[in-house]
Amino acid sequence: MFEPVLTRGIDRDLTRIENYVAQGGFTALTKAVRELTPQQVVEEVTRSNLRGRGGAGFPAGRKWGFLPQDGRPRYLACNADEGEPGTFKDHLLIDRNPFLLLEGIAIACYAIGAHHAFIYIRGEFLTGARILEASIAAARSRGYLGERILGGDFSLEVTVHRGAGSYECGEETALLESLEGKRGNPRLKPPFPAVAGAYGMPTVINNVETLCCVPSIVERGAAWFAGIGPAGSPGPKLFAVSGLVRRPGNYELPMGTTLRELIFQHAGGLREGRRFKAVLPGGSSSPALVEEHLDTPLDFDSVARAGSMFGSGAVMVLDDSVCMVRAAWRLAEFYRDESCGKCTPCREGTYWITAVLERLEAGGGREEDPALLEHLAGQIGTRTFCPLGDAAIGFLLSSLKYFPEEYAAHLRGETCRREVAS
Amino acid sequence: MINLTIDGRQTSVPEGTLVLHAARELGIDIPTFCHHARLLPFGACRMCLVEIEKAPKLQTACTTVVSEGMVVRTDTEQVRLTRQSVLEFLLANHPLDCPVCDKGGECELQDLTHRWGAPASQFREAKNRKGKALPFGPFIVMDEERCILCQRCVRFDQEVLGEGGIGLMGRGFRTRVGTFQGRPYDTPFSGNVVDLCPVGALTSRPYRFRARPWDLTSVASTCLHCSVGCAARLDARENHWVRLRGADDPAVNQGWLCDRGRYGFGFAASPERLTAPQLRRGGKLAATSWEEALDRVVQALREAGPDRVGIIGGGRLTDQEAALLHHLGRQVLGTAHLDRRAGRQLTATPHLAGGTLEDLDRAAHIVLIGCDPEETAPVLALRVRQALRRGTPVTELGPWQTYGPGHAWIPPSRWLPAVGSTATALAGLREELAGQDQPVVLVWSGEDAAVHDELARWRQAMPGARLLIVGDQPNARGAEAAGLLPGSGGRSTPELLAAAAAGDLQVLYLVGVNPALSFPDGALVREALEKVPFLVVQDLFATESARSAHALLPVAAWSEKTGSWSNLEGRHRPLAALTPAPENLPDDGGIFRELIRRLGGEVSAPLPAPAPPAAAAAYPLSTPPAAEGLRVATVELTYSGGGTVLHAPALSPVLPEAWVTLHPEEAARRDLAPGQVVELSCGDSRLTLSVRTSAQVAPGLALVPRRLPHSPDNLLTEGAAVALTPVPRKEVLP
Ligand SMILES: Cc1cc2nc3c(=O)[nH]c(=O)nc-3n(C[C@H](O)[C@H](O)[C@H](O)COP(=O)(O)O)c2cc1C
Ligand code: SF4
Ligand code: SF4
Ligand code: SF4
Ligand code: FES
Repeated sequence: MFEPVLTRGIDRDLTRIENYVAQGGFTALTKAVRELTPQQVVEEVTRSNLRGRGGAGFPAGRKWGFLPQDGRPRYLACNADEGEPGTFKDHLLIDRNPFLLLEGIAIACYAIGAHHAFIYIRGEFLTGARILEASIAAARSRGYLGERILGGDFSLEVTVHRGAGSYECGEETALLESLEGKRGNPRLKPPFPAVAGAYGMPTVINNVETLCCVPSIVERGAAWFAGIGPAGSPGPKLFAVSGLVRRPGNYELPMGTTLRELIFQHAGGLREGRRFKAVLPGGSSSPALVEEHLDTPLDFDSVARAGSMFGSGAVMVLDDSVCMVRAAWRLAEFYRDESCGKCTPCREGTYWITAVLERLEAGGGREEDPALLEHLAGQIGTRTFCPLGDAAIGFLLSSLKYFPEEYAAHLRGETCRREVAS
Repeated sequence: MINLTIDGRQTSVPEGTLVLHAARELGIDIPTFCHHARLLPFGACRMCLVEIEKAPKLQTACTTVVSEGMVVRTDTEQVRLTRQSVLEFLLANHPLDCPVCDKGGECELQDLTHRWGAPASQFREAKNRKGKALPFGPFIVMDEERCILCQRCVRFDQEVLGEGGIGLMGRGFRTRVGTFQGRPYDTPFSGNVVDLCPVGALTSRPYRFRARPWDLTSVASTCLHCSVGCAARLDARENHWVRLRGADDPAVNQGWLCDRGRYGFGFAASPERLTAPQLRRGGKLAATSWEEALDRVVQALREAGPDRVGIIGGGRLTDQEAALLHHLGRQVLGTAHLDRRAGRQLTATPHLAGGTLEDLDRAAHIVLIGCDPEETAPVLALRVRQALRRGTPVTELGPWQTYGPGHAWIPPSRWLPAVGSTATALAGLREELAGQDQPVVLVWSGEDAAVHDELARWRQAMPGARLLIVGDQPNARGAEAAGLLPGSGGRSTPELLAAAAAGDLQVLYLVGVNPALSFPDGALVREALEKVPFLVVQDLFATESARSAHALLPVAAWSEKTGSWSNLEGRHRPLAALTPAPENLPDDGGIFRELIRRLGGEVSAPLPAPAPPAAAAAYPLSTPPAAEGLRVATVELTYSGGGTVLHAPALSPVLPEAWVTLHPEEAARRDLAPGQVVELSCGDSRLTLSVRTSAQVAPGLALVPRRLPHSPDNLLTEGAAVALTPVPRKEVLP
């Protein structure tokens, strides 16, 4: 039976440090700084096969091992931007289990030799930022942060930096630009952040949930962690389920839980009389999957094999009341507005796609529109400067693939919203 | 070397080469927009995407570095379609106002669309509207709809200038280039963004709607506004000079120009230009024929005899003309009284190892001696900025600091404030830097004899040190090399002026100089010009010095003649004629030739090479008394002067007002606030100035700009005590 790891004890007000400590909080940090060398921590996390929960699924231990040993200061940036529509798991961890995050940050910094960590938090998460500030102060007063942590040689400062409201600032290099006070546009790689990140120094960027997994790995061992869920992407996972289910919310389950189990058991299934239509398994950036995919296990590799992406593990469920063209339009609009504007295909292509979808939706569709949309998406995909371009076309392409008849119906004027432009 | 294959052709290129350049070397052209040779790799426009074997997706050739065994394909259907699509995306929201766009015909978007674009667009939606004809500053106008957001302009501003005056605003399809907080884009290098802009988004106010590229004739030449000598292309339409663009001379300007150079060309077509020779008759100057004018000048020179003739000027001539003037003076007239100098600068020729502009890039330490290169050698200053950003130590000696603290991207210099004691401070620095890493590169204004002598000591103490002297006239160095300095027994400019004032000189011949404004002792120069019995002024304009001329000889401008000159490094700079001179005016050389002929000399044979001047000829400027209290110091500005700058209409918005800058404490002590109008009095002279304050001016100084026609600083005596009296408001109102 799976026991929650990330949300354990979350109903006991873990924003109070004594409650967190009472349930064994900070024992992993204590173990790390007292018993393990930084190298051992890196090795343990590598063996656990913890993969990044921010979207790309990159193995955390390997990322930590990339930093050059050249004497320069290095930094950890915790990505708490959580801008992906449908994703609200980091939010929960920050608000309800902040010391778990701080403990994970402290262990990660110990492992990589960083003495300063930044938490780049989405500007709208004002409460979260306040909770983090208060938690940092509490942890510091008890010796878990600050100078000479737990009486040892390791010191760490943690700075909370609030973003100013842009989805793209969650992309790691744009995040670094924004952190430095610049416009949140992504940077050219190489150099990778591991070599030249924040302020030009070697930097590790990890998602909130990724870092929240770290204490349990140190405490209970890599083998224990690797044993949860599928070998290729193990561990506990917070699934943020939204859309047209009865019980939307965060569910902590093992990686590899199937879509069917998550949607129909945990999230309570669909509303009365509704039929399942499609699901975005990894946030708004992931192509939709359909009925035939419901038995897909939710892990990085299985979802990719099914033709979508696991992403942040935010599951958005659409039932038969949803118009796919309208949904595609709505999402296209989001990406059009959140494109940073740096590269041509994304900046211009998202404008164009949105305009076509809007026209289609309003009943002004042209025969060639579906092919045009496919063409435009093809000329954006893999051609943009950063992955936002791919994110912008994922759902559109899947809607064209699985629901061509809805586009055809719009062309015939049988729109779900019959306000046809004259 | 790295071996790779591009379109089936093997090549090997040095490590670190970009795929783009490796391809270009093979003659394979990969289209680009955001790439620029002088900016860092960027990769935003996506025009240069190519296939690289084993890469999961297309890669940008402008950012991808070659690797061993790499196989690149630029000629596939996928690459072609991608280029077509990038163009289609760029054009989707483009206004397509090519027929009225300055850039039409030389636009990279047009050219690449013609080469790679689809025959028709599939875009049927409403276009995204943005701002048109937005003023960006004194010279630049922005059309946001034409902008393809390649960010070359923004990157130039960040990487080359380090200023942050422009940047991206908004995001996604609303992204646009704007100025910082909507303030005017008034960097002195603003025009470079027009050269960089691949489309017609950024345009130059003076050039807007003036020509189409196919109407233009152009020449490769150099800017002759200062001693840097930036490479430039000059464009004319129907014999009207309409534009100047930067050309990339890697050793000199790397493609950049300052706005004075770029927008200062209007003087050539100024209605104020002299077009006919004039002679004084009955107390008045009146137009005459060349025949008569030259006869009269020859007659005056003959009557005076070699010892009562003086010639001042030469730093605006070509090297060839300077040689002719030297020949005319020394051989034909037989006088030793010639001097190119007309201001405070005593030499433009280094007396220790001469430096190059590129030395600034490898300098271990840069020392600025009484010199603000931002004002007097702007494009040189760009290399100083880069050095500061690289962390090269820069020390400034003098009354003010150019590179002060508080700048976000340019770290400050170390400033050793020195007022009248620059040489002493310099001696201290010599001791500090001797034995340290070389080269130390010294950039000097060429002023102050004590500094000159101190620098001579650097030659032994630091053989690796290099000296750059920013010429106070563009070709000051070439003129000195041509021998336009007093020979033995010859009088220097201060001595010539003193002799004229004392009635000891018969003819004074001014060649392209305006000492009435530039010579530091204003009283002396005014008296000399009044008193000399025959004053010849050869110039483009009737300057302050021409008011009491007896003969006025107009000449061709530098854009109207061909030859070469020497910049501050002594580097050969070509000049090419763009347009013919108005009224078939002769150039300076033509006048010298004619005078030589009429005086019985010979010019067809090669001119004898002048003996190189052994040491800077003495230049006895009266040393000011070390005054108590507030003292005058002066500073040269980019837009100082009463000639070409004043008569270039495009420059009028940036011409400096008359100000006096005080240290904030000095201002506070006198209860003066910035913007307040004061009368500055010094002896019998008075100037009305507006107060500025800066902590980068040494306390105890009243710093005023030099050579402002409406407020001549040489009415004041540098170093003398001054008094400041606030002017009541009503008095300054018209
Ligand atoms: C457009 C875009 C937005 C992103 N937003 C986020 C985000 O809000 N939070 C996050 O953790 N990662 C986000 N990412 C992923 C990050 O770039 C990066 O991969 C991640 O923070 C690395 O952490 P991890 O390895 O722990 O997952 C985003 C990526 C892209 C391309
Ligand atoms: S794909 Fe291009 S325009 Fe879109 S967010 Fe990334 S860099 Fe910006
Ligand atoms: S204004 Fe010109 S140079 Fe600047 S981003 Fe736009 S197109 Fe590029
Ligand atoms: S730096 Fe001097 S030479 Fe260069 S453009 Fe400016 S004025 Fe002309
Ligand atoms: S030229 Fe390569 S991306 Fe713009």
